[in-house]
Amino acid sequence: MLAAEDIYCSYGPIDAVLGISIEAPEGSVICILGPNGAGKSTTLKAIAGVVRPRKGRVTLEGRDITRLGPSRKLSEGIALAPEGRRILADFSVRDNLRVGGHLLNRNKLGARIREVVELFPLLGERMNQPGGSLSGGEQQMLAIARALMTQPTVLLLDEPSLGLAPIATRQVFDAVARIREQGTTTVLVEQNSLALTVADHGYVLSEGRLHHDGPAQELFGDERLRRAYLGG
Amino acid sequence: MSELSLSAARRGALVKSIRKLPLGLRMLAIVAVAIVAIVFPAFEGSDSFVMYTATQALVYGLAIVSLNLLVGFGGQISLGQAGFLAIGGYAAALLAIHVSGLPIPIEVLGAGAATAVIGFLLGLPTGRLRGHYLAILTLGFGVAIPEIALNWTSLTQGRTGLTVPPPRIGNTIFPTPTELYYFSLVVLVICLVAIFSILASSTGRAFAAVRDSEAAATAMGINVTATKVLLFTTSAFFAGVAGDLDAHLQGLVSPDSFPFSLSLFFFAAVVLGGLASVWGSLAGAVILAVIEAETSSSSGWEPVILGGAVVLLLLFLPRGLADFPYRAQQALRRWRGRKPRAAVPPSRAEVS
Repeated sequence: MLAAEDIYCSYGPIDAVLGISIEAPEGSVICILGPNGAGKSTTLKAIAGVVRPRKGRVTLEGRDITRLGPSRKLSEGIALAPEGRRILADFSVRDNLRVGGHLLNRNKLGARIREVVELFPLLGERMNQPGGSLSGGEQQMLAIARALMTQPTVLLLDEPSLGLAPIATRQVFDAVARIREQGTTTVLVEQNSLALTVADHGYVLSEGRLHHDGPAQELFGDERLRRAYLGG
Repeated sequence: MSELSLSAARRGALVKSIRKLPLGLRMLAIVAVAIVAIVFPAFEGSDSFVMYTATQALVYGLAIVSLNLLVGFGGQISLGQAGFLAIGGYAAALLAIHVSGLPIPIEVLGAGAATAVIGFLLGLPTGRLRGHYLAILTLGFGVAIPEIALNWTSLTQGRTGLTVPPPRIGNTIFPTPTELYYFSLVVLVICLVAIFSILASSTGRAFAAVRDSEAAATAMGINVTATKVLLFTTSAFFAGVAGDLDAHLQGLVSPDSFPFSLSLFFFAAVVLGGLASVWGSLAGAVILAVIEAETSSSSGWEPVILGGAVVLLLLFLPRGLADFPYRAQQALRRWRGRKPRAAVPPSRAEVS
């Protein structure tokens, strides 16, 4: 189980996260929702080690991993697909995946690329194309596949549906469901409430605080909540 | 989104992928260049000025490739690359003077290593400095090195400079222009092989990943600061080797050997040749050496001609000389009345 316990984060004088706690049991998909500036991404970055929380703890299987930096977190099995996809546009799809496997032993790289591509067959057809030539949805798939290269036990996805057409958004969420079948714990940060359809548990943040949490199904059915915070 | 598209646009303005010819044609071109480089002295060997210019082109080639490593492949900036050459040059001179019988490979490695140490130190602040600030830091470095050489007379002999003996292997010395040319060619080729291997390795991918997106690189477990420091160290190493070659070519290192303007010429040559293109940088080096040779009797025209060339190039070949073969091929196809094939930009790793 991955847990963030009462974490506080700030950027200089600006507070972004004010005492947020979340739990992601092993093999589950949890979804963090909320409007812009709610502190979703910052919470995720604190878990990934990109941002240091000012207070609070991040634990994995009960061990305190709050202070580990991004590459140590990755070795611990926590991988982040950052917001905005960040595909290396001039690199081929294969090289993007190789970069994702930066921490892997070189002779394991090829085998792992084949495994990851099995999950995203479409990428297999585009291996030698530059990442920048893929469509938005394909780029997001590549970003997720790249994050999976190190065989993480916890996958952190920062707004994977950002800027995608509805059909591509659906495909991204379907991919999350497939990843779940492999036993990977997933923390999904989203503004799109459709994400709840592939999640077990949802957290709704607002202005750096936890506003509401509950089973994903319930949140998805709560018309008022969705309209107030999640835009539809 | 806006941040993403902005960074992509900003990058697009500086780093464009080099579009390339099919592999077969490229191999042919490389073999042709290699043959010309090898047999060249058989025709021009008697003309020591031509041989000097050709050797200078090789030396500049290594210097400009080392800068392109930093700028084109790594997305950093250095306006003081000649400072690295100066350190390599002085290190070579001091080693050759004070350690008699030092084998030349050790001297070259020593010059590279000494410069790499300075590159490492200069690279340390790059974790926090970027863009204009990094430009200013490296500019200051490039300006300061000749001044230090001028004033540290106990080590450098001040304005007089140090006389550099010709390279020697065992008891054989290589003083003639043709021998110096081949010496520089061998060192350049060895360095190019090393550079191509680095670029094709996971380290090369890390350089480019940091250039394209620090956020993505961090998420992939790449230590961004360490990668930048390594990039500076690597670039400085090869620039130091170029300084060693230059010291032997000139036979003298002095504070005037590596003026600040040289750093700017190198930078111009990187842009002229094409960012992230090793072959483009070598072409840029040839042009720089030729302009320098042609204007040697009318000093002051060098920057004018070089500046003019850069302006013209940015107008007509914005991706640099490295894009010329591709453009020429496309033009040829059109001329033959065939429809040009849709251009699929190559991947960055292939570019290396």
